[in-house]
Amino acid sequence: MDRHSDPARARHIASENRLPLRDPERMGALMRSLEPRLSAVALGVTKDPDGAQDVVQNAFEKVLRHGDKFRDWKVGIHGKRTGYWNGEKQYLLCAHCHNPHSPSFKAMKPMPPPVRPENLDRQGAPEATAHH
Amino acid sequence: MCTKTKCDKNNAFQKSRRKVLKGLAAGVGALALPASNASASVWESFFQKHFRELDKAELQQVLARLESEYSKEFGKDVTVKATPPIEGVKFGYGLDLSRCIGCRRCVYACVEENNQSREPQIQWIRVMQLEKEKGVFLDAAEHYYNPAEVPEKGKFYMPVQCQQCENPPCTKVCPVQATWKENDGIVVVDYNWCIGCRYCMAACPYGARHFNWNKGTLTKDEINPITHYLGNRPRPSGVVEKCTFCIQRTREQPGRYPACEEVCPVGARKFGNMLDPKSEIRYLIENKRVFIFKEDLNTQPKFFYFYAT
Repeated sequence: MDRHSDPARARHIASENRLPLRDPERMGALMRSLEPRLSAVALGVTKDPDGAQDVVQNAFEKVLRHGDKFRDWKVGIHGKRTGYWNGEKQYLLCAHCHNPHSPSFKAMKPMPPPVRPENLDRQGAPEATAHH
Repeated sequence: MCTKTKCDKNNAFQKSRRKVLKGLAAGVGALALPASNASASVWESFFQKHFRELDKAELQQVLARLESEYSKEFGKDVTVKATPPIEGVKFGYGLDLSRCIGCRRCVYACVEENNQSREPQIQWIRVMQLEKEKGVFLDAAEHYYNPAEVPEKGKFYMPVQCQQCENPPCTKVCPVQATWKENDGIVVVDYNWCIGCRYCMAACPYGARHFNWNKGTLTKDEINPITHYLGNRPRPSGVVEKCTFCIQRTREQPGRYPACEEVCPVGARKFGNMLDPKSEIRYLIENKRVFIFKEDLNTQPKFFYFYAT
């Protein structure tokens, strides 16, 4: 039985990683302890006017069942960071990228492939001029 | 031993041959010089010293000259920096193979940030589509995949760009030392010194270097006006270029993440200072399964593919 199908184990992992989301002060202190240069973007989740806070709350609770992802996120391996590598960073939270009701990443259209070498217009190149 | 007449004949031939060669050398030399009606900046560029031999005043002069040339050419203010490496920094890059979905957003963000030629197309990042069953088996790599949606079932994606080798084969073969490794580990090219022999392209096992067959096409709207001498400034034709970990961004204090890292929609790309024990790149090297591309060649890349899950 793995940890996902064992409710007791899941509860234990959740309690180990419990985030004080309802307590802005403790949450703020925790986020700051994660990274001294934590940006306001991440801290701002506790005062989202559109009810996104609940989404974030749910998402976090979901993630608490995946302790490995949460640990990776804390050190910046899982998820996305933007900003400055040696300065202030913007962290994205779970619900910024994942739909809590369907968390797997959605497929997207790729950008166009590169031009094949035979179709490259290398004007002025010896090979190109030789054929003209 | 030669007879007198034979020796005289030989000497005469050698003398005339020497004269011919001298004449040829002078002629070729004269051809290589700028035309007599060339502008002052062309002459200055022709006699410019190697980048690493320039003193502070000379460097400022060169940067000012380039700025005025580019600003005139593109009709907007272009700045050319020469920010040196930051002390105590060795850049490293991580790419999570378990996350990358092959959407090529990084390719196009790189093109825009680094002023790569649109026509003919130059792209510093190449994304390979590989089969999960076969792993990193390059014979089965597909570069030109174009499905309606990515990721495709049974496939994984591996973007390849300059690996910023610690032991770079490309710099060793340059006959004029126009490319070298900086103290922060970035391998750079001086476009004013490169002679376009393309030895470095042949030496690079990652196909990370690209040649400007002609002067790249860039419009006023397309050009990124914040440039670095060793990075994304507009390139002349006949020189080699490559990824520089966005040197114009990362060498600043504070330094922005490279454009490819910033744009990645799945957060598969990681960047930081390998000498900082608290950096994410250091964490992933120490704690994750890391794959080094063509490790057997001992190029010692500072680009680490890893599996976060």
